[in-house]
Amino acid sequence: MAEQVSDTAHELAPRPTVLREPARRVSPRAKWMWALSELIGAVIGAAIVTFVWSRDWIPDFWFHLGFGFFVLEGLLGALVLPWWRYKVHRWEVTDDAVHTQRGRFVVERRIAPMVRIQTVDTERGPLAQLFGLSTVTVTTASASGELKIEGLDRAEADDLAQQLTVLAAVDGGDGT
Amino acid sequence: MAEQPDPAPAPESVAPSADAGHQWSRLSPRMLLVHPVREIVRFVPVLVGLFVAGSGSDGFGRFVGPLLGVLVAIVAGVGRWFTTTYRLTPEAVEVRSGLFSRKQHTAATERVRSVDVTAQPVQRVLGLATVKISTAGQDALDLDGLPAEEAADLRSRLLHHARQLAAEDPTVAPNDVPTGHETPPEEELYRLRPKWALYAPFTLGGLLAAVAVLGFGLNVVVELDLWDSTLSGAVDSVQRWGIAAAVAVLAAVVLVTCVVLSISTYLTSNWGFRVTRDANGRSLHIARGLLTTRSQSLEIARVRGVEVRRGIPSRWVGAASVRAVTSSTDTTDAAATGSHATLCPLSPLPVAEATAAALYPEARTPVESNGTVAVRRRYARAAFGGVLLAAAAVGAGRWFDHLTLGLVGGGVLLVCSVLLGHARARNLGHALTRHHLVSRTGALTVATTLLEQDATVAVATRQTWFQKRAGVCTLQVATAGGGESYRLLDIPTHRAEEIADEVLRTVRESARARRRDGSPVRPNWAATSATASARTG
Repeated sequence: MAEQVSDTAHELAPRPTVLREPARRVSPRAKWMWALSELIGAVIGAAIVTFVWSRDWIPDFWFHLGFGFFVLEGLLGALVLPWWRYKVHRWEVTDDAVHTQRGRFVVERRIAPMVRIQTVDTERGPLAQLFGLSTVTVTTASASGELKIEGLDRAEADDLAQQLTVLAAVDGGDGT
Repeated sequence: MAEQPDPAPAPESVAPSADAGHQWSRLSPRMLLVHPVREIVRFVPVLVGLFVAGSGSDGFGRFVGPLLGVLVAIVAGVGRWFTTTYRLTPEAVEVRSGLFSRKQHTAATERVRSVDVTAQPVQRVLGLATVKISTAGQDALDLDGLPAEEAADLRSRLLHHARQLAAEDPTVAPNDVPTGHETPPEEELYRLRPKWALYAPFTLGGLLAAVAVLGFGLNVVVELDLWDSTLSGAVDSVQRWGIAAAVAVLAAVVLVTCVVLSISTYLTSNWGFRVTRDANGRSLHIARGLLTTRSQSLEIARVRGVEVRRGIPSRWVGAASVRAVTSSTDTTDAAATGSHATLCPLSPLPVAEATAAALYPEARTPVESNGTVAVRRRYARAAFGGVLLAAAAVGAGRWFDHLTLGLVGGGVLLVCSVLLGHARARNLGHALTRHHLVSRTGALTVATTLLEQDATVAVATRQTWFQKRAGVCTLQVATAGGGESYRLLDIPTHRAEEIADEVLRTVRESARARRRDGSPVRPNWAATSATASARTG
């Protein structure tokens, strides 16, 4: 356990700034997962639009607009977005905090001090299971203070959850 | 879990005179009178409504339904009284209730966060009160109908016990408690002056109502073409002016009624509003009420900040209100919302600020602007939003063939938007002190929020592409209480880093030290205690 901690903790002394970009990336397979998820969403959307149009509930103009929108969304979502998200989504665990960075159009960085972490959850949706990935969610006493790391390799995610559990259990005082 | 040594073991048979012994007892039988009165009082608006609705086809038959409803409610209340018993022990307050499914609610004394004692007029006449006990991690416990002295006893005992644990005083045994009748010297933070009720009509709702009434009156006047002097003969001009006068009088009456109503509501709910802090500085007592008296006591350790709020139009007349930011009651539920406790209703701004400063001297720190970029972006957004709204209004005007109205409406919306943007830009600010963070935001309601830095549970920054180009970001501080998260909009990135550093450093330091009140820091996972103890030290 101690070796794993020092592996991911890059510094032992507090850094001058905490808002730097976190160091680690998620698994590259996450790109496929995101692409597939967007594709499925777009296909469902297009199917619904087509169904509604085939029943003559909407005029042709709206059908073309809707279908085109979903096709465009699907293309962008499958080809461009996953690569971008992979580039942006990062995480890091230091001695006293968990850092994440994520976002599509808005880049969001979150820091949760180790002493404030309440629970560490690992979940695997159907698509994630397909690619052997997990999502790790770190919760604090505030609903807005939740950190999510998506698309982690499953083994890595389990390790991380265990490591955080140990690190966070040492201190207490969840801030309430 | 209790760390303090217990010098005198307290056998269950030793029953201090302060509580009702260790057997289960019912709530006061006088509540049997209170329940019918309560339900009947609730029934009165329905009664009035039915009366006003005019004579129906079945005469008085229409009253049968609601009357039955009232009877059922009374029976239910009485039934609740019969099936509810409670027990006070030094360690906890226990309540058993329920007719079909017996439920037992326990509130451990050491987990009590706040105690509310409420007394409605009927209860006051009969010398009763309702006690609501809020603890960490549970729903609040209700004791609906204790004798008033017992309620006061219970409250001071619960809070005193919490203070004892906090003070870690080994010389005071848990059972050695004073009776509730002695009042230790306390510090008054706020006291209401009745004349401040004159601020009551100046709420946003009141302003909108006044505007609506005036607008309606003006509309009527215009519709009657009273300014058209070419109309003659058919309608007598004196009559026309008479109608105008009547409309004016009606509008005035409606306005005066609204004003009187708001003032009387303010007075009835805030009469005698008093905030005091007890001599140890560990709990806050908030008492108010004219007909229904409410008295809320909460631990100061649960207060994590204070917020001074200035709304429209009340800030135009120099009024403000204050509320405390209190942390959430459930430590295990991440989704539990925090809450606020009102410390001052609408009062003069200096008084409000003094109350906030009495709780936190740092509340008087001058607030610095978020920067020129923040100001520029507020105006840009307001202008953009205003133009969109105006365009929508003009479009709607064209659609409904009321183009002039659409244009006027659009113009008004645009002007309001820009004014709001100006208010927002002017009031945006923040301040950082050693242990606290101040954030001021808002346009309609300007809220200056002071937070303890160690109430932070997470820090986040958000940055759009535009913000990145301008070198700013939005800093978001998540807390366990109050509004859950507070944002500093569009501050320069390096400033955001400074603030985040400072806040996280304070969190680390406070976690290392013991808690202020000396209680040990609670671990979150019992299962990993073995590994934890290996790492501690």
